[in-house]
Amino acid sequence: MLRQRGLVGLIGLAALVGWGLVAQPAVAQVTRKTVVTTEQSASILVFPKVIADGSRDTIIQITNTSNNMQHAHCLYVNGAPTTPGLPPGSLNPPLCTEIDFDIWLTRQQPTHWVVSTGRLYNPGDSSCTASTKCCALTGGSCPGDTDVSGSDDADCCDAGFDPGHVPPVAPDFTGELKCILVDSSGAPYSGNSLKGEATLEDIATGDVSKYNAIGIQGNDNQNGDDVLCLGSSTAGNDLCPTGSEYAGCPVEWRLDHPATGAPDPVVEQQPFCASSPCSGVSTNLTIVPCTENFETQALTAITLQFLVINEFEQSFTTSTSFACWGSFDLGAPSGSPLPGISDWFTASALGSETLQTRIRSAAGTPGGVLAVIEETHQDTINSLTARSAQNGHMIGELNVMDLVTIPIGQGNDATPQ
Amino acid sequence: MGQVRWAGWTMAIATALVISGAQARADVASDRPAAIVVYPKIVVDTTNGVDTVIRLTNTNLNNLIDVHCFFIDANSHCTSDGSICKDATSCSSGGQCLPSCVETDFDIVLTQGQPIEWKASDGLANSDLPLPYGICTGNQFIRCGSSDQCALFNAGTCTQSNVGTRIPPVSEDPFVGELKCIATGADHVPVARNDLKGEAILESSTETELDVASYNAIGIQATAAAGTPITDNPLVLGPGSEGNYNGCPNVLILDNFFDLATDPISGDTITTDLTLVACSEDLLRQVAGSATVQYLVYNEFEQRLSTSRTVNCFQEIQLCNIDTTQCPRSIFAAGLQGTLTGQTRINPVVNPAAALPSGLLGIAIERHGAETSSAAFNLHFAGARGTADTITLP
Repeated sequence: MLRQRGLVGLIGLAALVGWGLVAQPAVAQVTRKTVVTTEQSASILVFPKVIADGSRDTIIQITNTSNNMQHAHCLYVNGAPTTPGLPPGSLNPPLCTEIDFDIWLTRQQPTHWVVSTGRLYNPGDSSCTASTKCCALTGGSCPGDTDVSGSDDADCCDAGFDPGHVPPVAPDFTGELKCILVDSSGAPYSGNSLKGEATLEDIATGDVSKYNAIGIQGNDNQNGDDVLCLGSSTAGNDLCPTGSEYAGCPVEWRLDHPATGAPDPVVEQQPFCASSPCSGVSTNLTIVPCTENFETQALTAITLQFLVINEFEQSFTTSTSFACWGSFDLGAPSGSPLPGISDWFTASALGSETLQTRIRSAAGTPGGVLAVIEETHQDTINSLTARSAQNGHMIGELNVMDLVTIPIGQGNDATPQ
Repeated sequence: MGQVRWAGWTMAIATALVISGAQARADVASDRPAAIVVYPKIVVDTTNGVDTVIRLTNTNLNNLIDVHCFFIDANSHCTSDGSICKDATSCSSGGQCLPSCVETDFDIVLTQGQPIEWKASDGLANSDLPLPYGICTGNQFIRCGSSDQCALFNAGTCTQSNVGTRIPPVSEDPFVGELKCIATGADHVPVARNDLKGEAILESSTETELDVASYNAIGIQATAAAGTPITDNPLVLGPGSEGNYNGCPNVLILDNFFDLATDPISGDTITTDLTLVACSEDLLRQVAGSATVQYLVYNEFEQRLSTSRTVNCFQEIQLCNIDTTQCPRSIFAAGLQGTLTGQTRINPVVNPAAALPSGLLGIAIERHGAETSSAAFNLHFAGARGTADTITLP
């Protein structure tokens, strides 16, 4: 009997070791491998490019991939220029104001909302049927019998367990969305159970492009305070007493993209293209810093170093700087709505139609960056435009600590509702 | 008694391993360079303006890389006349429409840091290559393919070039299928160099429509030290990180709009095409990898429905056609699910009867409206398969 009891206990112990619920002397030395990723569940989701400026709108999708209820604290960062209508730059910096909200998702629950309208908390929304239609007011007026996204009459548009009250963004919003996994008290924790996607939609043409949210996985050093520590270092300091709590941002981003002004090879081969060029391609780069202090709203300038390699094995370098949120139409001429950074992204300057661009934050710059690109293809004969977003490739993990600071009152010291 | 004790230990250890194993993770990734890159969907239909631009880049700034690639032609063909078909109704004389999985392979040489792109319908060769020949360092007027040629003239060494590259067009037009590229040495032996990255741009261009959707090629990283030749054939993927290459994921996760949902911005109807390809492929004997796929579908009410369907080699299918031919009755239909969006967990299950059991990789393409505007995106991964996948090279 004693032996049997020991056997049962042994099996139970083994099960607990497997679940990681008891001390594991041999395993404890192995730090959980965490990464910044676009295809695994994570504890922080970053949507670098969110637009609701009247010409484009964005649908956000977030899913809880775990079997437990999950909470997240989300922050919109408005990267629109301070003076609307003027080109962004050092004399017209981004607003960098944030608004925040909380969402909660039941096990395996997906949710979505339209950025311009948000999503009301309304348990009375009717489910979708085969005949119900949705519409967002950003598209103009909705037909009378149509459910309206984000409104009291959302019904099918917002059917499902509401994730909470998601506010609409400010008019002419261009910026970032960041969602941080927290526990029910509001304290950040490393559950690695969120994934997300953003769908950017042109309101006039209906053209869509889509990218995966960038996920930052959390590790076992999480202490639940309002300062989130991203990095590969296990050494503690005043702000990060337990060392890094999340994976470090990448050392470098590697992007394959067409040179600006290069022809679109598929359009060029169409019968309607009698004489080239009939098309043009350009690339937009959107980039956000890994370090963000939502408490002080202090802007930190980040210098980016670019290494551009063309098909002929020739390489070129250039640089620029941004704070808070940067959006660049690579190779665009001066005076364009968005900065172009350099001619080194153009087909005419490089004599090449395809580029590999490597981006890193300059030495001395505090921290890393996260990026997404979007190509614009134009058929100049028929005046057609289409976009497609892409996630970049990442290399390495920064050993400097990036800090994300949640404002007082929004983290684990939040006032109970 | 001793046997009982051993049984106890065995059970205990097995239990621990099984439970720990559930937390293992795959390092197949579409956001990091790798030694094998998989483009699950390449499509060509030049009559209707459809083509795919393929990008492939050597991310190593110091060394050129040899790459061996395989187009997998997944067109179906009529038994009656061999013509390309989608189903039996498009076959004349009562022929059957049978799927195929035929490979065509070719080599690419990429110089250090070099990106290249080509249209799947055209391929890339000869003077269209960025660097069709090298130049002898001792005499720039002498073209060369290797340093041996320069040595004949005592003209130094040959610069890097794309000599050895001939990318054929896809084997049929229209074409649908997969592209897989493997890093090799100059001797065509696979090598553990995680230096490749790629993208595919699916385009449709007519006088009234321009549609562009792109996705990242899925990278399978080699596990050995960089530069180590991999002489095994078949190549072993997993399980986990135990094989020549990392193993394929246990579960693919798709966040999707349910089919026939209305776009909450434009009001257009949304549908999603799912493309799945097998991780295991016997390219020598033309045996396709196969899996029975279990789909768990969650709506925004946390309600779960499930279905299953077999994948052989390659499958491109609209979500609502996975379980039925009548979309409004599908568990992937918005009207049936009651919400606009869902989470679909795709779990390839080993079918013991399959000739080559396999894991899966995939991408999704979301289409908005009748005047097609589409967006492609990579699926998420979770966990590592418990068994290895294999790629047998010809």
